[in-house]
Amino acid sequence: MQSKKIIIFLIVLFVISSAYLFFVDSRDSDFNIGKDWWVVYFDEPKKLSWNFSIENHSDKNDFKYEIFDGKNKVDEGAAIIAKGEIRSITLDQKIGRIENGKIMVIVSDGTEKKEIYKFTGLGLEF
Amino acid sequence: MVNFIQNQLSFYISLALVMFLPGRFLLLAVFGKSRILSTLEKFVLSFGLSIVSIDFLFFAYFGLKIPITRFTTIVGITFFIAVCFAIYKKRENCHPELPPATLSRNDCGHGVSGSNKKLDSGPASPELERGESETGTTESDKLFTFSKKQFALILLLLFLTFFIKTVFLSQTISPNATDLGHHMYWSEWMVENHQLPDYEGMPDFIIGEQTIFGAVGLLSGLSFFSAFPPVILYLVNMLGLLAIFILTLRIFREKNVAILALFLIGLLYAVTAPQAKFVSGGVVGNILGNFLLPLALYFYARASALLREKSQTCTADDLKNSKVFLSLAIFATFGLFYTHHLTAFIFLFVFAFLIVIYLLLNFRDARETLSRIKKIVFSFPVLAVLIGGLLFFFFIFTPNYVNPSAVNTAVGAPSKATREGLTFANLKSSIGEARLGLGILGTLLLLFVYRKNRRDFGYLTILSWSIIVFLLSTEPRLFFVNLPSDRIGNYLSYPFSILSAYGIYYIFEKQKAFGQNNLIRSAFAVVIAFTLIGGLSDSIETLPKQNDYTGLVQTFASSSYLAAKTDLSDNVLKDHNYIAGDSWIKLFFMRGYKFPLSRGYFKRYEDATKPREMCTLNMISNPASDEAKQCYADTGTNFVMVNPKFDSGQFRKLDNFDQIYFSPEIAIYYRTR
Repeated sequence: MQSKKIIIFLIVLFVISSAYLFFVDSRDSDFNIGKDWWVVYFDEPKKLSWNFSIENHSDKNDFKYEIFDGKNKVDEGAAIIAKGEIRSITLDQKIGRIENGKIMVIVSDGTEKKEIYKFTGLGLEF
Repeated sequence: MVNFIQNQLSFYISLALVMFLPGRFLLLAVFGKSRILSTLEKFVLSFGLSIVSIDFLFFAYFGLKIPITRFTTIVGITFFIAVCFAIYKKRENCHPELPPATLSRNDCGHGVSGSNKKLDSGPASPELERGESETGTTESDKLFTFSKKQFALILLLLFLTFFIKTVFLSQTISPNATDLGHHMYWSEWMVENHQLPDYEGMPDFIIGEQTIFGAVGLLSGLSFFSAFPPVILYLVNMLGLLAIFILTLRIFREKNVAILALFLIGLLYAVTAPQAKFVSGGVVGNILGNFLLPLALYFYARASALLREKSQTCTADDLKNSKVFLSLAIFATFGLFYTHHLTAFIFLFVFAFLIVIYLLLNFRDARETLSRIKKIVFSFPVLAVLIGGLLFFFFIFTPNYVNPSAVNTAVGAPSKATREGLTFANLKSSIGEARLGLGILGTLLLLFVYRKNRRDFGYLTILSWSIIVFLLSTEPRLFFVNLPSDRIGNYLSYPFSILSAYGIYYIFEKQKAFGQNNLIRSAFAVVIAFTLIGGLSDSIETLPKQNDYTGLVQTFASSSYLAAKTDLSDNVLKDHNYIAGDSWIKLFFMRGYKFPLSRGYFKRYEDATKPREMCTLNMISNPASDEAKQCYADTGTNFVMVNPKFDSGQFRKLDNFDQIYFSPEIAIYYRTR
């Protein structure tokens, strides 16, 4: 009888512990809960495309972006992106084809800037 | 919330199907309703036997070329359970009036046993191994019936052990451990490809490290990125502690020794290696090995009951039980060899030492001993399991480590300082000061006691286990072993906890004056306080602060991005030094164990004893160099994942690398030419 009680006790302890650990893991692995980060990336990394996305996992949601061709600003804009959302910015039609140069996307949340860039005419496919 | 509950339910159902029911029904088939095992023993043993049974089920599938899917896994487990149940029913119908363990008493050749003996503190009597007595109470019942204080203490110890480990694991539960990532790649591979992995020929992995995760993953449908892999390891770790409890109780037949052992291996040093830290670190082989090794020793110790007996008291039941226990011991040993090479390696030394020393010390009775061993070994159940296991091992599914090159890496003179053996100071930090001191004391005391009980195989089992692991970790040269000494030293905590428990018990509790003498009681309290402080402070010191998983989720987000944007023509290189949870990246691609390429720890490129390729280092550290350019050309690497805080400068200077992805912890570069 005592053995059975010990087993039941063990099972209860294990179930409570593991359920708690599953809960903690689902919270810790969540991209948004308790996290403060955002990312910018090109949608088509291997192609000569300037379309990019901002993925927001921070508490800030007012993003501004600027597009440079070399040192020349060719476009700019803003986007309100809620936490957990991804916003794709389409630039290809606006900017068109640039044969030789460096297209740089600079995104800012007001305090922090991140940039991505591509060199044109260097192996990228249209 | 509903999803969470559903996941939980499917996890526990899968766990029961994979890790409990096969073993439980196997025990039912071999022992029927005999009370030769206590309920607690059946519970613990069922898990170990299930793990091994699932291994063999999958090996059979491998041999028969049956795909491993959710359906075939359920069918296989159901079939196994049904066969076990049919055997049980058949035996029950043949002998409905007697429990199976007491069926025949006409085959031993040494007469009929006497009546049950009263439990005492001497070596285990053979009656302990038998089924129900005439009074209806078995020796197992007596051995596993605790006083109220003992019962409360066991529950308290279990609660505190769970509590400390859970607190630790709650800080580290998310999947970021390197080893666990490597192991889960193969488990995921098994789930995706519906077959056992071949590990691309690498001897580092052994199938038993993946099967239960693969099976639970298949049945539950849970992601390998969830908490389920470490939770399974946590369960196995706890079962390992319970295996120590039942092993100690069976061998010493003293409840207080078993409780003290649980205190020393469970509550104390509950976090440090090889406990919760190995769980969170995903040291799968060690965790499973530390469960299967004591389990195998438990079965061998119980199989040896026949050897302890005087010839006049030997019964057919003893012989029969010894055969069954030896069959299970061999079954568990195969499971061990299919699960972890280092533990199996240690087991081989322990077992060889145990057998040789036992025969030498019982040389006078060698004839009788060998005659009994012969009777046990050359029996149908033992030979069936042994031959069946060997057939599987050498002809159906042979572990990758069974090859000359893998053996050569483990055998020979120590090639590094870390393999030359641990000092006492190393051992102290490895297993704890209190356990080291008390363990040595317990060893000496048990050696002293063993002199008068030379037939007691159980005592010698514990002694062999501790002496061999102690010597392997401190003097590896004696055994011509070339393995990291600290990894072997971690194994010492298990036998030394048992011996520490025995030492404390022998010095204090066994003295009749304990109850009356205040001085002895005070000394006992001081020793317990000393061990408690040492063991608990160790756990408190190693408790991590709340981990920040921001880096980990960025690794996963970037991996997911790259897996979607690349195809088989692309090659990816990532960094192991500064990227959190990078070993899990390969699970997003599933394009081979070595995909993506990885820049390893810097010190590994400087290891004179193990020269290695330099491409992965050069391609990240100095991408403009001629060596790196050649490496990029040779490997076809065109994507590089690094931590921009450490490794972006060298890429930003170059006009043939596009910065295509940027987050605080991960930058991805695309090489255009």
